[in-house]
Amino acid sequence: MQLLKEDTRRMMGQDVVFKNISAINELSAIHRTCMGPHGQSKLVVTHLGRTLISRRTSTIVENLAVEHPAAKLVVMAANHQATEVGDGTTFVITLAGEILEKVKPFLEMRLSIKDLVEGLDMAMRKTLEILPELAVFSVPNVVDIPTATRVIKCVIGTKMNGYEHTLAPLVAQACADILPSDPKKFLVENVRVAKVLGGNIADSSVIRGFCLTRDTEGTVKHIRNAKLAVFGCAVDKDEGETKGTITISNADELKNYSVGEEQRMKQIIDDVARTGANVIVTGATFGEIAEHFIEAHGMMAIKVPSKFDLRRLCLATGATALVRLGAPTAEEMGHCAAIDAQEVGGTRVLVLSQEGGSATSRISTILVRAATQNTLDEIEKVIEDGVNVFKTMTRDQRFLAGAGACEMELSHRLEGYGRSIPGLQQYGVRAFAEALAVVPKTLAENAGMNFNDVLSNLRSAHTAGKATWGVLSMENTIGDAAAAGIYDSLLAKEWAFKFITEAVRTVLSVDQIIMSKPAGGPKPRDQQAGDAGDD
Amino acid sequence: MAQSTALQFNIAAAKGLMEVLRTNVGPTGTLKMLVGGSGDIRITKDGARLLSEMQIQLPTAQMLSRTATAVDDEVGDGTSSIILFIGELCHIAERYLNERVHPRILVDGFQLALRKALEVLDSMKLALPMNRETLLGVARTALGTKLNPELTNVMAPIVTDAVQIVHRPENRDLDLHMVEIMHMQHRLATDTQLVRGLVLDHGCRHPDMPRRLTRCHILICNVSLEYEKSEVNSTFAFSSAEQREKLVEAERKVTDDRVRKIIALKRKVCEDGSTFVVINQKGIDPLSLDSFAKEGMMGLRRAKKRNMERLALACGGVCCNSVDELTPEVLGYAGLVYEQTLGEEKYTFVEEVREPHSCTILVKGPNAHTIGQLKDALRDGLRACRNAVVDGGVVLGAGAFELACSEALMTYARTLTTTAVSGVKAVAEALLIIPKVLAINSGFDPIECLVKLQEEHAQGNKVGLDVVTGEPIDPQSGAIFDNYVVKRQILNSAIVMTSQLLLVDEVLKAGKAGAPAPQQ
Repeated sequence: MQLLKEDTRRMMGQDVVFKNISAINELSAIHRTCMGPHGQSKLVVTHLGRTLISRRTSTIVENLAVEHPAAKLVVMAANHQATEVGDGTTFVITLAGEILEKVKPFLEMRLSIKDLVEGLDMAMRKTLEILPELAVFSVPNVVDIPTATRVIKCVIGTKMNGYEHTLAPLVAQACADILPSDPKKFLVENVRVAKVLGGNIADSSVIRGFCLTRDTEGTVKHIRNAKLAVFGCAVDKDEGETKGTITISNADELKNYSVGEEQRMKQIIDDVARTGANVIVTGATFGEIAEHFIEAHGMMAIKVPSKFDLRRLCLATGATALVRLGAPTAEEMGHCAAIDAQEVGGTRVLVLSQEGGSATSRISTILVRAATQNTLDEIEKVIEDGVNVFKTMTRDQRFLAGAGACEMELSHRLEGYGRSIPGLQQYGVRAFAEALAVVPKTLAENAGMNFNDVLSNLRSAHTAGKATWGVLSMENTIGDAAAAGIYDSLLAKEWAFKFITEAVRTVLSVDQIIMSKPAGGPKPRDQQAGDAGDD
Repeated sequence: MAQSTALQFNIAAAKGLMEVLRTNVGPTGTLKMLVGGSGDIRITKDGARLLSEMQIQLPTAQMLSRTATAVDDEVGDGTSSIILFIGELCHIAERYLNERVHPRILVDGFQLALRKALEVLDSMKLALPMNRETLLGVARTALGTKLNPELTNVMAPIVTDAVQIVHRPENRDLDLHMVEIMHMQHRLATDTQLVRGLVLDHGCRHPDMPRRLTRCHILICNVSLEYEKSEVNSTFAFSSAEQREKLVEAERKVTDDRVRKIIALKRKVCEDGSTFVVINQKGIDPLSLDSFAKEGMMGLRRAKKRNMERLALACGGVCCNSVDELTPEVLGYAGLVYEQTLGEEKYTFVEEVREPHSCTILVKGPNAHTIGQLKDALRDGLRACRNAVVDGGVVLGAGAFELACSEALMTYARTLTTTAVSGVKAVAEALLIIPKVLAINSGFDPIECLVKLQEEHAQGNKVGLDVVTGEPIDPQSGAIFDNYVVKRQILNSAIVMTSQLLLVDEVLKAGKAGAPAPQQ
């Protein structure tokens, strides 16, 4: 008897949980090798046939098109980690997979899911309690570029090993430049990245200001000490909403009509010029007549077609975008130390920089140079991650010892905690504690070390009270991660743990999956079934 | 299909549906994951949600699921219970049918049982005062069956407070539309909060408008502040640039005048340093926004119609349809208005209002399925509280009612001398499915639990099942309350549906329209 619609697949019972676990493990196995400075890259060919090489979990996951619903849950957890703190996605996927793996034997022993989940919850609460105690480093002053660089280096190093020494100072500089007086109001989107193909990463630089990848409209290409009049509307003759018809009854009127228009335009541009403005920016278009008069005054004309770019330009120069054509007041005008139209690697770039100027910009831009588009995109993402770390720094200055040290210590402490619990929940806590060791293990594995030795040595180190010892994969040994300057953000770890528990809990408590027929064209049925079988 | 086949077919369908829903009943039930056609994920325990999204094909099951969801539409809860009850009743009826009892006789008994059960229900209705404590119990019971305990503890007070805010003692009914449920996709589900005021899912559209204002007068209006085309097809003729200029100016004048009137009011009321917010149901064009921004006002355009009602209730004030007679009296007040940006989305919070009669539950969650699950649960929680307020009473939960009712029916059956006794007995037995399933889902032995419960009940105690310990508890002391109206609906609908199913003796299926040949 068919209860549900044809082609609906239904999975039930404990089998579902096992199938889900193995699907998630597969996903986690893919990402595990990306972890740490010695992690490997993945070459992903997307469904559109685009090839990309990346070590960032979020990039890989985005393009993997994960089909299995349970695996999707973990992918979602990773994505939220990315949006919430912008770092730690590999950690989320790896640990979630490992926890489920460690829980599996207990499920096979028919331990009830309720008890397991409770145990995991307890472990997680304990973790959040312990974490602040493990903080070993604090950034007292985020504007201090060397300290900020040190932290950002850790993050960039795991994603683009080798470039961190170039990129981290740039990111720190760009962020510190625009840090508002209240650091909590720091906005990630105010650090822009301008990508220009060609050259070398070492040629990348920070612009204190804004950068547009387009040319100016007129012939004026360079201006020092610029005063900007910014218009949100078109610099052109006024168009009403109502349709108008020009009725001309004699030759004089015909002659005078365009003269009248020109006069009006001249009037407006003259007014603007009189205020001292030497740059006119529009969010829409320049009329031809207007352009002529702007040129006549020797002013620069910039067209910014994107509303958001216009807003950023305003932020960078302190200008107010006017909605009606007319002379701006002194407050409404923006200032900029230098505006230069340059050609970088065949691309026209308009650089509005504030260096040396009196006004400070609320936007900074990192001009990135690299040889391939792929690398450029990758660097952009990595910079984004770096900026996100800076943002977390403004929120919470505490840092944990990285390199698997804090995971090892947590694992060590949770094991003790697990032993102290009398009920069935202890198995959940223990599974969690054991799973945490996956981080140092993977780091060691990726660095080509003998992970069994590493783990046992680390364990004994932590038992001996060396709470900050982790895997120093660059030196191929274990040692004090805090002393080596390897840090993880406390905030990022906290969120990661929360998302992991959430995902794991959901995966475990689902006992039925009902999948309706995939929408869209009729795919060959057997291929679909094959997919499900693989998961 | 022949008579016996049709009956079997229907009974099997009812039981099949019961099997699907059985595992998610009660606080300890498990979750179901639904994957939609486009791969979107939904995770739920809500019977109504499951039934409506499961794409059931079997006609009998379809009919049952429609009944169950209809009950949910009506009272907001009880879907899974109905399906369970119907399934179990069919199951037990099958036994009698196999003993050659005629369905008609069974159905007669059902009717008698229904009448008696409703009497029992009425007698068990507890007319508790609808204070915060009672409502909290109701909310917790309703939410507990849909969410995990941690979330339930967060949501129950939110739901209770929301209901108390919108509840006006002078009205018997309660308009739940006045509780806005807004979601923001970030953070964790436990960060969900109640906003005493309103959250609008859009922000002001001008970069220079203030993002945060305190001590705000709020003008709620439905006035177009943008150029509107005339209804008739018109065109203007002009012969010089000046005339053109004048036309453009005149075009603006209508809108500008309105803006000027609002600004005049603003200047009048804001002399003491307070601020001004305009929330418009219609549009505000960039030029008008600019004028407002210059005055340091915040302007929101295109608010939802329902939000206009909510705003008036939350901040006080009157919604204006014209700017001609603006007086300070029409203004509402909020202590704090601010905008929050979340990626591309903007949200405006209107908070610290004086006497709110409307509020917002701001649902947070890291992903769409968590938010969906929460929203469904909140809706049910709110409905449960509303039912309790409207009923003016509650019924003991945790299977206590079912147990008591079953016992009462058994006693009743002993007084009967007609053949209908078998039907009454069937209903009495079927009712016990609720405590049984609660026990099974919590990992206990159903028979053992039931015996313990019945023993306690025999001593005259009102008991339900504690899902944590598997022991009998007093639902009243644990504040486990179900809705009277829901139970009533369950009894009514389930018994009527089962009667119908049992009285069907043939299933005929029409050939598909347009199909080349009728399918077998």
